[in-house]
Order: sequence, then structure tokens, then C-alpha cells
Amino acid sequence: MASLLPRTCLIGVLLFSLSLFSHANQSPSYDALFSQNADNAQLQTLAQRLNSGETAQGSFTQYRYLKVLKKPLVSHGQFLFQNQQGLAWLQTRPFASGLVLTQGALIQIDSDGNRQVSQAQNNQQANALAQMMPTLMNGLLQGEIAPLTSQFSLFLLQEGQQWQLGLVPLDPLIKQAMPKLVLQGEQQLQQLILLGHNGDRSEIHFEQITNQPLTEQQLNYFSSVTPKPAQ
Amino acid sequence: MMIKGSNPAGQGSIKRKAMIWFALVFCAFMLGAYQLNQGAKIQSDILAMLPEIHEEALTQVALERVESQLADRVYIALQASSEAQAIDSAQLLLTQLRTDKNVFTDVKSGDIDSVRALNQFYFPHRFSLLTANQQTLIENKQLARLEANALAQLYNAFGYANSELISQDPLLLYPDTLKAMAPTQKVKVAQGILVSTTHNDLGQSYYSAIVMAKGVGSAFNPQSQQQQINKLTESIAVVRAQLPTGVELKVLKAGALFHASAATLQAKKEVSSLGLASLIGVIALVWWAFRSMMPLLIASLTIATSLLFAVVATLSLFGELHLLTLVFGTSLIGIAIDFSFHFYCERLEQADSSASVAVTKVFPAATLALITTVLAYSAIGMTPFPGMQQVAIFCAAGLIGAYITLVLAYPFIANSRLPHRPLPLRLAQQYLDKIAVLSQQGNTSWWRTGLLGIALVTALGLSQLQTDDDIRNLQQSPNDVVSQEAQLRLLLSGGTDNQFILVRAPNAQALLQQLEAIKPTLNKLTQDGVIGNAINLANYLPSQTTQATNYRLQGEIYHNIDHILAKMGLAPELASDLRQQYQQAAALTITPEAFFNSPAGQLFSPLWLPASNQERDFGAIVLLGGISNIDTLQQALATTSSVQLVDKVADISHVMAKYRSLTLWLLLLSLLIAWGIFSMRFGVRLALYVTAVPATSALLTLGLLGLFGSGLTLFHALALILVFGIGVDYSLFFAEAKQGRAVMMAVFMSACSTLLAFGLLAFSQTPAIHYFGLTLLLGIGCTFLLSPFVHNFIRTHK
Repeated sequence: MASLLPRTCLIGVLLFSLSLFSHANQSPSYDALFSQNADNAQLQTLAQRLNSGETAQGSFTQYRYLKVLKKPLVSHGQFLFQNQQGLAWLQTRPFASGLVLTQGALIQIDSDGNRQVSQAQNNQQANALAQMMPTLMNGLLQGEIAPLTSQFSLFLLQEGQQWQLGLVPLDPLIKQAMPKLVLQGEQQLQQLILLGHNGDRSEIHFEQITNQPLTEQQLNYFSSVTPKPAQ
Repeated sequence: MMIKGSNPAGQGSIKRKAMIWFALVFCAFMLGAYQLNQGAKIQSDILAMLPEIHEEALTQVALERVESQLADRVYIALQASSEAQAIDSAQLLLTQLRTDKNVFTDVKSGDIDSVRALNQFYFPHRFSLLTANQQTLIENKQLARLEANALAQLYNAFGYANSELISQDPLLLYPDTLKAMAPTQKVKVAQGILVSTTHNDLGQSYYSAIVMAKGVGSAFNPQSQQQQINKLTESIAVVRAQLPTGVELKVLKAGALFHASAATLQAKKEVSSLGLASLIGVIALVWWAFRSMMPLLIASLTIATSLLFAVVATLSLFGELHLLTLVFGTSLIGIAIDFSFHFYCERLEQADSSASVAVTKVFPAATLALITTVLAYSAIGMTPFPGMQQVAIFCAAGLIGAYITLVLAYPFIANSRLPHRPLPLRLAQQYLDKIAVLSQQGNTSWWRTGLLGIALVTALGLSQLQTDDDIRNLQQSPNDVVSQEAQLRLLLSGGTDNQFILVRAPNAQALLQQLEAIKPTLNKLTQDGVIGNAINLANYLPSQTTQATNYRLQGEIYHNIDHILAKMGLAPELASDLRQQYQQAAALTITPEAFFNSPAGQLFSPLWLPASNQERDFGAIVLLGGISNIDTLQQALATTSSVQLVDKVADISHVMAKYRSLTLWLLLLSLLIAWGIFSMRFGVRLALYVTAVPATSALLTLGLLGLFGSGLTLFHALALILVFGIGVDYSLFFAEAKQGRAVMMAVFMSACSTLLAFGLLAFSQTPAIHYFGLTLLLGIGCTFLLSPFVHNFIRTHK
């Protein structure tokens, strides 16, 4: 008697297609990178160079260049990464907000410090973009490139100490929302560039990355029950 | 009446009768062959046997829509610890299942094209769409909150804000209206495949890729069922063969197909194990009694003729034969075989006379039994219940077949001599003597104790007897099937239940407003956990009134657009374009016609029932999932007459209850008819004793069922009708007999063979068959023990 009908499944997917009106119009400066397919041996070397242990933390500055903005949006903050826990992305300026991504949950912290926990399981489609961050971080901070190859086509350019890793999502829906990503660095990861449509672009600069273990207070961010940890 | 016994006839007459019998059988055979050729079929869908439930026209259309959506669908989840592996396997499975269009159609997973279509449909209408929360904020002049939300999105590099979207929806209202259409989503689409991620207790992630397909034939049709199962098994084997070594893939399956297939397997297993046991038992019994295989041969011929008449009559009248009729109807073998055993025991008694003499001896009781039982079954056939009509016709025709074989064919074909064997008859006589001692007038203390015991057991049992008419309890699939289905339901956010809400209104817009009006009720029910989810068209197709309100409210934004752009740091040049977009959308509304004709709305069109020639009202189906408390749901919806909970399972259960009680009343009626007929032959008082056997057996059986705690169902009641038929037989033969021992032996043989053939059904795992077998086991046991007393009463009171 019992039957199942995932009728609304597809509706959730809609959020992804918001960028479908856009026409591809890429920033040309990365053409060289995206013509260089990365081979396994190169990736292996890069992975070894980057492997920096179980924890990483540091500060970031993010620039959002959108055509519709009068001037770029600049924000500053800190990130915390622990391979067992996940990633906390904590913006401090111009206003405080946060996004904490753990295995099972997505915690959003608004400017008033209110935490909104949503089980990742309950809105997988909407969170799929957000979940890309921990995948990237895990790949780059831990030197685990293999999981990246299952989700992206990879491209690599190296000049001396400088390297650039280009990523193109395999999933067509994710690709529509975020066509290309570029990571670059030397001994350490320095920049993440997200290339959108119509010349939209975001740059995230990483600074003072260290492998210091997280403090008790920092670990609190990952607990989905703790209300309002210190800003 | 005709109950007076035919005279032993000469050889010529015997041959002539046999020829008539042969001609009748031949005709029946040809008629049967013709019908099967004409497309008569064996029906195995349990629902086809149930009475037709007459629903009101719109409800009927709605039920058909929902059934056609849900029926014959299979859902497969492929679980792996790597997402890529799950997706690759699902893609391979899709290809495999699509190779044969005659087995599965509509094989799919997540579909990106339909996602695109949905977005293309809704985006131009964004000025007429708002979430409840957005409406409240704008009404309360809290635009600042909306601006803050949009700004937070703008700062999020991994969010959905981009220049294209901002230039058409600066406050990013549209993404939230989309989100509101799918509040909780446990699945996502990755590379065209629906994927659900779950975590086990150790925190490891599992990825389940989901594939759906629709079977071409019915899952209840044995042939298409086998085809579909084979195709699935092959396809999954191909998928497994492609897996890298060491990768584990777990397969979960759900759908009616797997319940039906499990039932078929179970039935096959039981037919072979229980069937073999009863066959061996009956052969051993006949061999022990007669030291000859001839009686078995003749009995088999009688049963074959009986079944032939039964099947042909049923097919002629109904055009199809239900599998359950066949199962229940074959119990008439228990009655048909009586004729053979009585005949042979009579021959054993009088070894020197011919078969004609034995037939003459058996004739009065057999004729009376036939008339009574056929009349009783006809009464059952009067009920408007296809299943019971079939059982009645099947049994009545089968009995007539057995009867004419006895009367017409036995004198010719069963004339060979039996070996001399006095032992069984002597044992039968000893048993009867014991009974005679027990029922002597002087032995009152034993007699009282016995009666009191029966009365006590019956009263106690009847007081504990409960009924159970829920048809879901009749379908108990193996745990494995149920647990896989439960897991898949969990992955798919609860799935959809068979119950749904039907909302009606005189026109389309009134219907949409009605759907909007029940939104708060449904939200509350979801919050309270009464239902898991509801698919309400109002969420996807707002009424014209709501769209007009939303458009007016958004005017607050677009009339102040310069100010808002400035506050958010957006380019002021966007303003004129935005204002123009807003104004151009003034006349643009989503109409039901446009929605359901769009690729986006097609998904929902089965839920929309427009008015037609037959039906003046418009109707809409609200699908429900994860219902935890149907009574609370019913109460919450009971306030308006235009909103109705359609629950076919309950309706069917209700009908089952009605027919269960009707059957029991018919049983009472049959007993009265039998008493009436018997009175003509034996007089009122003796007829009462003869009728008392089936009556007491039925009561005692009900009492015992009560003590065993087996909730009374329609199937118990149907079995009681057969117990009645057999009980009438036993007591009539005893009543007619001058020398009791041949009858005693025949009744013993008959009871043993019937118990072997059908009492064993009590050990079946299929609830309906188990109930049927258990009732027969108890009923025939009681009848066997009680009927010899009739012999004594008749002798002492005649």
C-alpha cells in the first residue's frame, strides 16, 4: 500500500538555477590557467607542499567586485578549521556574521549574534554551495587533493614557488552558480578567487595562517547547542 | 420433493447415465476452453475482490488520479560511502532500466531540465510572489530588515547574490519565495541524480542516489511482476559488476512491486510445502482405509469435475476468476470428497452389492446436502460483493459437479470391487458405541458437564472476541521489505501516503483561495507532527487576490527604489530599469491554465481537477505524507464541507467490516433455511438436532477464536460458511443412516482429508489464508466431534 513520492524534490533545486539568466563572460586573465590540465604527479607534489596538519586558522580579507555595486564590498574576519569539526567562517567587519559548517549541520550567525542551526540533511540542495568551502579547505590545508578530483576538473600552473590551481565544478548546477575558482599561493595558500558571470568576482586573501590548535572557546563555535559564543 | 431415492437400474440405464455425465463434462470443458481463449483471466489483485466502493464523482476522479500516480512505481536507493560512486552507479542503473521499454517507463532521477523550466516560469512573476514573512515585513514598514538580509547575502562570496539577480531583484526576495516552496529538502540533485546524504552513528557520511521507475504492467499481474523483478535484479547485478573491488553498495527498494513479489514467493513456498504434506496425508489415509487406490482415483475424478464446473460457471458469470476465490473455493473439495467417501464406505459395508446400490443408499443424504448448501450459498451470492458472489457461485457449481458425478457416473465407473477390509468399520462402530454410552439418558452427569463445558468455553470466548477489519493487517510483508521501504521514506522526507485531502469550490479562483485558507491548518498539523508534509497547490499557484496583494506590497519597494539602492550601496543607474520592470509586470499574473500547461506546472497537473461535463465543481488534491494520527487530522479538517479527507484504506476496511457482519447474519439465515428444509423431511424437532451440529460448531469456533485472540475478519466469516456446509453434510448423513458405522468412517475420512487439505492453511504466513485455515481447523474439528451425536438422537427419538 505504501508509496513514496518525492514530488517537491525538484523545487529545492531551484535555488541553484538563479544564475541561469547569465551569459558566460569570463575575466580573461585566467585563460592560460584553464588550458593547463593538472596531472596527478603535479597534484601530488602540491599536496605534499601544502599539508599542514589537522588545524589551521588565520584571518582573511574579502573583496566582492559586483557590476551592480558602486564600490567593492570589503570585509574582514577570521577562519577556523579543524579536520574533525569543520570550518568556521567568522566575519568581524563591517558587521559581525558567521557561517559554521560541520558534518551534519550548518550554523548561521547573524549580526545580533543569533545562531540559526539547520541540519545539513534537511536542505542539502541549498547548502551544497556552502558545503564547497570545507571540501576546498580540507583539500588545500590538509593536502588532500583526491577528494577534489571527484567534484572538480583541475588545472595547474606553476612558476617557481608560485602556483595557481584552477577548479571547474563537475556538477552542472554548481557550475552554473559558480563557473570557475582559482586558488593561488606559494608555501601556503594565499588567495581564493571565485569567478562568476558578467565579470562578477570575489577575492579572498588569507593572512597569518598558522597550525595552532584551536582553543576551547574557538571550538565552541562548532557546537550546535551552545548559544551565542563570544564574538 | 425429489428426495426419495432412485431405483437400482439396469446396465443400459447405467451406461446411458454415464454418457450423459461425459457429455456434460465435455460441454463444460469446451465452454471453459472457449472462455480462456476469449481472454478470461485469473485475477490476483486483492482489491478487485472487494466490493466496489461508490464514491462521489469528484472523489472518484481524485482517487484514480492519485492511484495512477502512485501505482506501479518503484524506488531504488543506491547507498555508498562515496558520493561519486553512488552517482555513477545510479547513472548506470538508469541506463540499464531504460534498455527495455516494455518493462519500465518513466525511469528517472533528478532532472535538471525541469528545474530550469520551473525557474523560467516563476522568475517573470517575481513581483507577484512573496513569502508570508516578507508580506508581514512590508505591511509593517520594516523594509530595513529586508535590506539587511540582502546585504548579508551580498557579502557572502558563497551565496547566490550576483549582479544579474540584483539588477532584477535588489532585495533578493525571489530566492526566499523559492525556498518557501520547498521548506525542507533532504535530497539534492547532483549531476542529474537525486542524492540524499545521511550520517551513521560514527559520523561517517553515506550517499544514497535515488532512481525511480514506473512498471509497465501491474505489480499484481504475475507475468509483469516477474519481468520487472528480473529486469531489476539483472540491472543491479550489472551495476555491482562495474564496482571497483572493495567498494560496498547497499541497495534499498520500495514500491508495491516488492510487496506483491514477496507475497507471490510466500504463496509458492506454502503451496509446495503445505500442498505436499496434505497430498501425502490424504493418500496414506485412503490406502489405510480401503487398501486400494481406486477410491482415491474416483475421488480425484470427482474433485476434478467439481472444479471444472466451478471454474467454468464462475468464468461464465464474471469473466474472470479471482485467485482468492480459487484458494477459498477449493475448500469445497472438502465437501466434494465427502460424496466419494460416503459412497465407498457404503460399498465397504455391503461388499457384495453393485455401485448402483451404494449410490442409492447415499442418494437421499447427498441430495438433501446439495439442496441445502446450494441454497445457503445462493443467499451469500445475493450480497453486492464481487468476491463473495464468486465464492458462492464457485462453491455451488462445484457441488453440483460433484453431485452429478456421484449420481450419473459412479454406477458405471466405480463398480470395481474393493478388497475385504472390516477393520475401519469395526473401529467406527466402537467409536459410535462409546458415543451411544455417553449420550444415554442415564449418563446425565457427564452430559451436563459436557454441555456446560461447551457453553462456558463459548460464552467466555465470545465475550473476548474482537473484530479486526483493518485491511492493512491483512498484508504483512516480510520485515526486510518493510524496513527497506521505511529507510527510503526517511531519505525522501516521508514520502506520500494513500490518504489525501480533496478541496472543492465552484470555480478555479475560489478553489485557490480555499487552498490558501487551509494553509495555516496544514502548517499547524505539520508543526504538531500530525503529518510529515503536505503538497498544497496554493504554495505554487497563488490566487489572483494574493498575487494582486503581493504586487501592491512590492510597490512600497519600487516606489522608493532610489533610496533603497543608495542605502545598499548599489548603482543608482539600476533604478529606472527596475521601476520599468515593476510597471510592466502589473498585468502579468500566474493563471491556472498557464501554470499547468507550462513545463513547470505539468509536475503538479495531476493534483488539479477542473470542472467537466460530469462535475460542476473544481477540485484540488493535497497530497499528505508521514501521517501519524489520522483521527486528529480528520478532526482538524472537519470544519468545512468543501475540504474532505479521502481515506480509501479506511473506506475499504469499513466495507470489510460491513460484509463480515453481513456474512455472519447470512450464516444465521442459512441455518434457518437448512432447518426449514430439514423440517420437511425429519419433522421440526429432529431437524433442530440436525441443525444444532453446524450451529453449535459455528458458535464454539467463534468462542475458540475469541480465546486465541484472533481478531474476527471477513475471512474468518467466509470460512465459517464452509464449516456450515460441511457441518450440514456430516449431520445429514448421520441422520439418514440406518447403519451408522459406514457414515462414521466416511465422516472420519472426510474430516481428516479436509483438515489435511485446509486445516494446514492455519500454518500459512499470509494472514487472510491463516485466518481461513484456522477457522476451518477449529470448525471442522468441532463438527467432527459433535456430528455422531445426531445419529444417536435420531435413533432414540425417531
